[in-house]
Amino acid sequence: MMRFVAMLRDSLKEAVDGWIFLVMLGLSTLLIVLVASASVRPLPAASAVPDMLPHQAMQMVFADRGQASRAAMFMQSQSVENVATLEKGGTPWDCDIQFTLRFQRGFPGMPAGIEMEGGKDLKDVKRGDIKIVEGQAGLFADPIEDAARFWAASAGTSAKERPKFTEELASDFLAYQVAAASGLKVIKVVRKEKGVYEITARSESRLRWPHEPSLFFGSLKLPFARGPLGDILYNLESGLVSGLGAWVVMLAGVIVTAGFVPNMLRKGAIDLLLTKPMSRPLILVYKYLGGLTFVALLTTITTVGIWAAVGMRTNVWFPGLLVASVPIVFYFAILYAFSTLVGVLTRNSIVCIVATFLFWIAIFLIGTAHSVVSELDRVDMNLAGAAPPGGDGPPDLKPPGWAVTTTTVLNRITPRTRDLGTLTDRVIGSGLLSDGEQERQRKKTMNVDWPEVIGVSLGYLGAFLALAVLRFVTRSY
Amino acid sequence: MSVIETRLLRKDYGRIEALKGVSIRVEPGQIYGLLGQNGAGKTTLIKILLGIVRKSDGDASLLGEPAGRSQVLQRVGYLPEDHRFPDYHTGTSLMDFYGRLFGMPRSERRRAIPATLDLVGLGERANSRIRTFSKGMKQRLGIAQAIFHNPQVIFLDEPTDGVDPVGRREIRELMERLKSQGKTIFLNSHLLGEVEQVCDRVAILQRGVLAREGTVADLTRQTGHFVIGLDAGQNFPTDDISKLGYHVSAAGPHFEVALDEKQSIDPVLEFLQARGLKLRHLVEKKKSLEDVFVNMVDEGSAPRVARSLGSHS
Repeated sequence: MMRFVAMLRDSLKEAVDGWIFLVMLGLSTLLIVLVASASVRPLPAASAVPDMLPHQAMQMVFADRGQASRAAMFMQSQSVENVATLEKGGTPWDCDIQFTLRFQRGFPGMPAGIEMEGGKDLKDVKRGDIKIVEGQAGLFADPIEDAARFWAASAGTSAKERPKFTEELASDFLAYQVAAASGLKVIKVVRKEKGVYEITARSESRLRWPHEPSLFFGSLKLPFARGPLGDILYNLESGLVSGLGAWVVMLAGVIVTAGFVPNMLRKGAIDLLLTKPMSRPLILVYKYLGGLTFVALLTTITTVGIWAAVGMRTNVWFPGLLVASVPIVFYFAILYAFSTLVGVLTRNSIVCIVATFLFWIAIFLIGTAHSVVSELDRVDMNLAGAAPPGGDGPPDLKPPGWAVTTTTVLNRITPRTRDLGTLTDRVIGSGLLSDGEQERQRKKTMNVDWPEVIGVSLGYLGAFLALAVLRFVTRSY
Repeated sequence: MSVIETRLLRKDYGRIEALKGVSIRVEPGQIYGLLGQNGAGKTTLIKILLGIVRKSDGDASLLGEPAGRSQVLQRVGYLPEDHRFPDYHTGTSLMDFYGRLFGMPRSERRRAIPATLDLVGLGERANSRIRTFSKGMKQRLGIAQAIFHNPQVIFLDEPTDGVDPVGRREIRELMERLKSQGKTIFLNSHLLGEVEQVCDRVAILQRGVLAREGTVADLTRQTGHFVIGLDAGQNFPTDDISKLGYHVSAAGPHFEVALDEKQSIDPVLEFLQARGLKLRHLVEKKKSLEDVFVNMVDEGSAPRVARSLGSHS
């Protein structure tokens, strides 16, 4: 243990000695200070409620009271009017809110709506699932009445067989639809006139309430980034930690640690280590762990710093961000194991850096290619069959079979760093995103075989280290 | 038990034979010098003993264990030639790092590190970064790190390289003090005068072969040459001695008498006494180690061992 700690301390001293460490520390501090200067302002109910009810979310209706994957998109538009908080004082998300929802039909001549089958996500819709319903006398003659009937019916039920429209059905439908689109808990729905409803609702939580972020203690407002507080924090943390932060840590980590093994193996330096009472495998493994610990410390400091800054500025203390450093360090561990192997083989820092970056780019490209190709293969959204008469459908995007096979095989046999990135986002998102968004993220990684991902990555890490140790043990210095 | 022993040790680097069956033995408490030209195989021999380089054939043992075993290194100190200490350390932090690798407890490190740095004259710069050290200071630090953990055997590869004359004398005195404490020192140096002054035994490697091995006295003895001086005012009877069958030549104020293999100096001394001449100077002439080394290199002499290795056992 004493020897391990000694090697660890030595590696940290070596890392701290270089100017790149100071740059990394500077960037890390800058990032934390930037986050600490950020603030969020809750939007007043009059601005917040229209934001919470986007057209697309209100237009998409799922059959079987929202439980079926059969969906229809209604071409109506809606406006939110007369928004008022029913209690004075207090934060808007703690008050009942009342507003009027007015529906209007889409432009005459436009398709009344699209009915489709498949998953609850447009990306899940497959070829042949889409039918376009034309004309004003078709399925969606009245945007709300037909939508409510479609929503209440079982999937696949014909228009004639669907339940008849009643005011109670409309209330149930709108209560569900508004809640699903906005995250508001609907308390009451009152029909005022045809297509006009008065809704009383309350926010689920502060995290779901729209806020406007700003930087530099409020001096730089960012209206384009407004949205639910949870989404803002997710975008901030995901962007800085698993996005920009991870890239900076990897980039600088690879450069800083690339010299560790070649420096250790320099003539006159290695002699001093090899004549200490330690086995050669231990020397190399301890050196590896020393570099890894350095990056782990830096990542943890940055992550905890950002987490603390976010917490202090917003009073949101979800621990997901703290756990996010684990996949990042694991990602780096694979790269550093490769760098260690190259270091033992070549004893050249520059070759280590270049080779590691090439390896990193290669696995990134494989992951990206696999993601793109499999996504195209899954969606395969060919609207040609559903195009209006005489219209041109979009081109067939289905990728060739060999591309699917090649990228799938390559992705399976190489470290799945892309999946690790997705996992990081999912960890950060838990507790910050809405249930729907979290479900969408979960579905995104549903098909990922985590034991296989971690197993293959660990296998590579172990193989790189084993080869490095083998060479180190058998070589004369 | 010998501290160091090699038997027919061989090392090949591809087609290059660095060591061609070298056999040496170093006893406890000796200062053993290893000489040789550049590329003779001196450093390779040390590195094999310390496990840095893998042998090709033969046997090598250190403190009774096969060479290369990491456990035995606990009792070994090493100053490599052209050492490169991590320059982000200070003298103290480097020694503390190595002390931890040796498994020294904190209390022992706290005691031994400042004491050893003081001993080698680095006490005042103990907390300076190594990158600010001169070559001589780095060499002193190298010696300190080789001895601070109280090893039984110490390998010093060119320990006085870059050190000023005063420092060299201090290092020689340090080696003698370590010897008096029972330590065994294996010294590799180009400075033959230094080796001659401190070493008990010397081995000379030439192109991977053990060319000479023995005590310094053995190697430098020049049999059959005596330098004789008489009392002031007395003339040396050169002609008479020559008539006795000896070759006489002037050697400064004295005269050198050369004997062949069958002759003894005794008849010359008896003759001088009989003539009533007073003997004031009589020395059996010796060569310096440098003479031995240079002659050996010049002649490209066939390897031979001054004393058989069997005489040790």
